[in-house]
Amino acid sequence: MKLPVLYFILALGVGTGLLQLVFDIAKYRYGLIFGSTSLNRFFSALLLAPGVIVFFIWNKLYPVSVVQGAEQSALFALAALTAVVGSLAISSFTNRRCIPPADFKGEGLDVLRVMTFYQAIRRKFK
Amino acid sequence: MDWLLDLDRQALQLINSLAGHFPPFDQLIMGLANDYFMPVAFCSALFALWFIGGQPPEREKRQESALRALLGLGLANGAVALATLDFFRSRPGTELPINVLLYTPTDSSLPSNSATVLFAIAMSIWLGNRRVGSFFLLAAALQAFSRVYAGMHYPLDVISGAALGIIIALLVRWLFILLQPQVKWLLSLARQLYLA
Repeated sequence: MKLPVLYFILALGVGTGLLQLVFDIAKYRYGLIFGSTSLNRFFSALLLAPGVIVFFIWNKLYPVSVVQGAEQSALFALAALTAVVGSLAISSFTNRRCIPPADFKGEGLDVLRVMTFYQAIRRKFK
Repeated sequence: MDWLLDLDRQALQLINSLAGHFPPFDQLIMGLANDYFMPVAFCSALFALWFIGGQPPEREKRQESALRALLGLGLANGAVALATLDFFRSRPGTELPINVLLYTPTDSSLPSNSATVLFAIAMSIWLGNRRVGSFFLLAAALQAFSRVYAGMHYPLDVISGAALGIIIALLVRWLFILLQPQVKWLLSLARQLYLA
């Protein structure tokens, strides 16, 4: 596998795992992929672990070929963006049965406490 | 100038002479010094800083810090690329009989790319939140030390990288003060799209 591809996949795992963990801590219930907290934490750990381990020993595994600094930043940004879009799309699907309150006035990420991202966007542009 | 370079070499040899005596510590240093672990950890922390909850005013402050750090990261990469266009300093492993723990990169040793980027991020965070920023600065200093310990950089490389990163972070803060209405608009747009 080409190193930039491996980097992207691992960064995507780290990004998605971290995002799920952060949503869990912030209590953004409808941003979580799984309904069960313990299952969600297990899933986050499963996604985070390979990235943390491989990034820690990367230079030992691949001592000559490197992903350069600017390329690394661009790949991480792309992976992070994919993680956000993917997490919000999948959580909107897995929580599609959620019934949003009619009178919710909050804005920003707080909306994920009461409805899915898709429901919020649909309501906004209706 | 020669005395400074001599001092730099002596400092490197002193720090690097610690390598190889305590293998578990060397393993830890190798993890911290490698090209990916700390940069990915810093970028992930920025990512978490953006999405972590809290009251809206506090959240907006954190998100502004994350934006500043992101711009700092981009500018730091650009600054190092510019600085090394016409300047090259060999890596210590090619000049001195030292203990190289990881590998000897082929690009210019000065300024240290990782130190520039990590200090630009850490200082940007510190300017917005002293407590969280201090932790980032400590981690950046640890990574800079580990690069010297592992024989990948001279001390002057990481010191100049850190100074460049700090200058970039201050420049970005000044830029954000100038562009405050646009920054507020960007954050408000992200909030309206439920992304901030």
